[in-house]
Amino acid sequence: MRRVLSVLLVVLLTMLPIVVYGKTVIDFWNLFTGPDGKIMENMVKEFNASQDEIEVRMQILPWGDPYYNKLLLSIQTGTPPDVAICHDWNLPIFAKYDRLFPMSPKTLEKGGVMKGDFMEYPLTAGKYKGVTYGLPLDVHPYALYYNVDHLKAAGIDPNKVVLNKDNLIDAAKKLLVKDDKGQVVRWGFMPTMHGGIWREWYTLLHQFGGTYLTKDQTKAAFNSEAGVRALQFFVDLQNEGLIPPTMTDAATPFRTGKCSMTIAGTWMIPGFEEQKDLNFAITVFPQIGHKKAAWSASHLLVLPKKKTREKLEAATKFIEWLTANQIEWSAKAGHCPTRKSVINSDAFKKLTKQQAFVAELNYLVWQPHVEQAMSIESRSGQELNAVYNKQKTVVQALKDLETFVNDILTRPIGEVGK
Amino acid sequence: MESEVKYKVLYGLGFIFLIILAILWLVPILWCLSTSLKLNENTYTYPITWIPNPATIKNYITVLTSGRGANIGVAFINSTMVSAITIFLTLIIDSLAAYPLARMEFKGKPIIFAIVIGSLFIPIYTVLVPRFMMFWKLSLLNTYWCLVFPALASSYGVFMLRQFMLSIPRELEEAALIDGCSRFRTFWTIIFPLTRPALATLSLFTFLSSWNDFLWPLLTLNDPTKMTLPVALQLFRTAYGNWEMGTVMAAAFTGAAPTLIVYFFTQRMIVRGMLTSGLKG
Amino acid sequence: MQDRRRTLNIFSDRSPLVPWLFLAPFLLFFIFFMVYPMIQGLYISFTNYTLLSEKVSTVGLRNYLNLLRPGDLFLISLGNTFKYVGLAVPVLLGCGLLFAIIVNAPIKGRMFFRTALSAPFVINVASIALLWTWILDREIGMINYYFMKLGLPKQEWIYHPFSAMMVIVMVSLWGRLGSVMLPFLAGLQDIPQEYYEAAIIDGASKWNLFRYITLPLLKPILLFVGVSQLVAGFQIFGEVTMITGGGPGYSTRVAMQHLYEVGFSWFRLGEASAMSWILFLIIMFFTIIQFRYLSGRVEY
Repeated sequence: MRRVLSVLLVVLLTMLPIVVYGKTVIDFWNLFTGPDGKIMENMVKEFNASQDEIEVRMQILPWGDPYYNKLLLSIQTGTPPDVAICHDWNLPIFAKYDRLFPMSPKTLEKGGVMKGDFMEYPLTAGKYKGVTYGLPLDVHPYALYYNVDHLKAAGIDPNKVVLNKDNLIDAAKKLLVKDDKGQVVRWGFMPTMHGGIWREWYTLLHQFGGTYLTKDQTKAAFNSEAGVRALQFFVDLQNEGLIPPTMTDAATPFRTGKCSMTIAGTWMIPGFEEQKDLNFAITVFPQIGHKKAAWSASHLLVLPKKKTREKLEAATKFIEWLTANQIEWSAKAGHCPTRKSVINSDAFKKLTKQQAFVAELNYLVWQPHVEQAMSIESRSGQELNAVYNKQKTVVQALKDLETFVNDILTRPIGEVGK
Repeated sequence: MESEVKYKVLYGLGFIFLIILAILWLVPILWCLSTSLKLNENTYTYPITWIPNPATIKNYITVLTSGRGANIGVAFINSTMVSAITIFLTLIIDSLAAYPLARMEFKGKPIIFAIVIGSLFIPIYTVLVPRFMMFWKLSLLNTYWCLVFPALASSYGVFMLRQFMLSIPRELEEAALIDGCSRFRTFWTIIFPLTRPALATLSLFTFLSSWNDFLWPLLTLNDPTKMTLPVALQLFRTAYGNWEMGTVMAAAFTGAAPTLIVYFFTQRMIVRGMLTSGLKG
Repeated sequence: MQDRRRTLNIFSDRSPLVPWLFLAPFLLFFIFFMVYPMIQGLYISFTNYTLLSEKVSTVGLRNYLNLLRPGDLFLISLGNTFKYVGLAVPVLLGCGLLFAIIVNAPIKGRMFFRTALSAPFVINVASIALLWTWILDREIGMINYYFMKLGLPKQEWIYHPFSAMMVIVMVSLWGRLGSVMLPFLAGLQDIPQEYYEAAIIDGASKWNLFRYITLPLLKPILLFVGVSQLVAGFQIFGEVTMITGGGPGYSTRVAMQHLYEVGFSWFRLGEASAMSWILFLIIMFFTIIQFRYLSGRVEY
């Protein structure tokens, strides 16, 4: 009996900090598991401190399947967060099955959507059947990160790093450092950031003139010459010993000087800047094919559907605040804003590292915008990584992936329920 | 004598072997602790240092006040509550069920007993999806009950308590029954108290299995404020990356400490419990 | 003993219902949360149920046949699971027995060694995964650091298909040793010393002592622990999900992980149920074989 009482007491005591009197508490879920997570945590704290009515509780969930799985499940089971992040490519599964509240016209107006202040694609991606469900917070393309000191030491001019296939390979060779036993001490180039070569391959696919899906989005179109060439590029680099034989994540090596060049997203900037002895810069995605392309995605702010609308107002206020403070998010987290006025502002122009992303804005390529997007993204990553790990041939992997994609596109995830 | 020397050599080798094993087994835990007491910037300096300098408990504070969700403190409470409820109900339900299996003869007893033994080794595969759907339809996801109820379907406790009850002398019960006590009163006033050692052991095992459960809570708990410790830890890992390992290790150690502490104090009981759980039956 | 008034009270002790009343609470939970789900799961495996769908229809054996499709990950996951079980379980049992015998010897500090080696089994899998991921970090982890100091090459650990599986085996060995060693220790301590003494007098060698006294008397425990670990091995999940994520590629993707993904990431519950029944049958098959093989030789 005593044990029960003491447990109860402990429970009550620890619940105190959670109960925030008088404020509306809204839950905000995101998947910022990179260095940008810390930045968002600070912004949330800032928002909470700036006013007295709303308290935002943030929750970072594991990127990818687990995040979307939990989000969908939570909406399904009636206990979703009030605000959530959703990638541009994953909006259909939420919007199509009526799992989101639409954005209010007032919010859109405040954000400047009506005045055309937003970048076109992310905004379109946030719409379904003409209704806006997601408001883009940022655009996060991929670009080439390089270690300025390493390049200088190898005789490459760090101010003129405009890479095409030949000078990328050339640079990778020059920057590769081995020890006397023949073991690689420093890689010139490591493409495997964030779990694989999916996004790099996606970019090259487009650079070689291909696309992932057919125009009507019913069939796979990547098992083409472009797709093969894109994948073969990495295999060739591997065979020449210019990139690691295993899928080692490039973040730590780049940070600790064991890698000179890598391809990564915008959000790595704060993490790399934290490293005091790392002198790095960013330039546009190397142009390996005959076209220009750079992978990108966008984080949309969405309002998961709940049984009641009581917290909707508070949630929209938070979204409006975030949109108004896009410059802070971009400046500190490394992302690129989605509001043209912010992109062109002096505050943003001052951020020299991120101007490389701005240069790419005209030729960004986006992932397929279908309801099976998550499955497609997972499986694609797995098949491509299998090629990187020499478990499958290029031809076999693309064929298997094509079979999978064609099959899954014929099956809607779920029929439209209530 | 030759065999004495041989004995000494064997003893020495055995001892050295054990020391090496002990080091291999303890080092990960110690390293975890060491890292957790370092400032995040110092966790990846070359050369590696074992004694943190400066040593700090900042990471533990971050763990308990984290603003990125995955509140370990709340998860700790949740785990405690779930374990406590599960243990309480398990002890009652399983001892009630064990009694007739140990003491009474009735039609159908062999079948029931066979079910109890047979279900000891059933893998969890076949019940995952249906249980999930069941709790979903009952709106019991994200509650303590979706964790407690499935645990009560386990027959391990029934088996263990039955084996133990077999060893209780019959005379006490028979005296009570002759005196006119009902079966239930006999059970409650005589058998149940005498089963205490086995109940204690069962509590321990139930505690460990409830506290450390990962797959099922991961699946059924979506609300971060309802998560149990292992699930919250997994979330914690994703919110804090490779460059905040001090914080991550502090979280990991916080998750490991409760069960380790319990283990140190109850090791003997656990070993004894494994013996009397009737493994030899 | 005189019969008092014969009551038809079902709660009276003569009622055949009494044992069932005692069993009732347990049976309630057992039926609701074990039997019924299993049957329902079987039914779902023949439907096309997905989490978001409201209409359900049966599709015969389609879910089962789909698992054999080329490119489907089920067979690969199953293969990996077999690989894991084939490696980890014998090693775990072997080490458990060996270490138990050594720790059982009259050596100073037995308690300490027993505690040190068995402690990890009470640690939850998430903590274990976190600390091992940190130790095995390729760039800044402790083990690679010492390897380099000793002149050994830096290991890829979770980044290479082969070593990734070894990592899982190693981590689960470290974590589960206690749950195998402790029962063996208990069993060893239960063997009466007289047996050994009598045999030694008769001139038996150390090996013979082991083979003809220790092993047979441990058979029941061996059976119990062996089957438990086998079943647990087939269900491995936490270590894989949190350390390697099933990678690199598919090299450590195990059955439980695949089922979890298919059922709860892609919401294909019909397929997941089909998978779960196949896995169940496979495990039961091996369990029965183990029982047959080992029980036949148990001496009571």
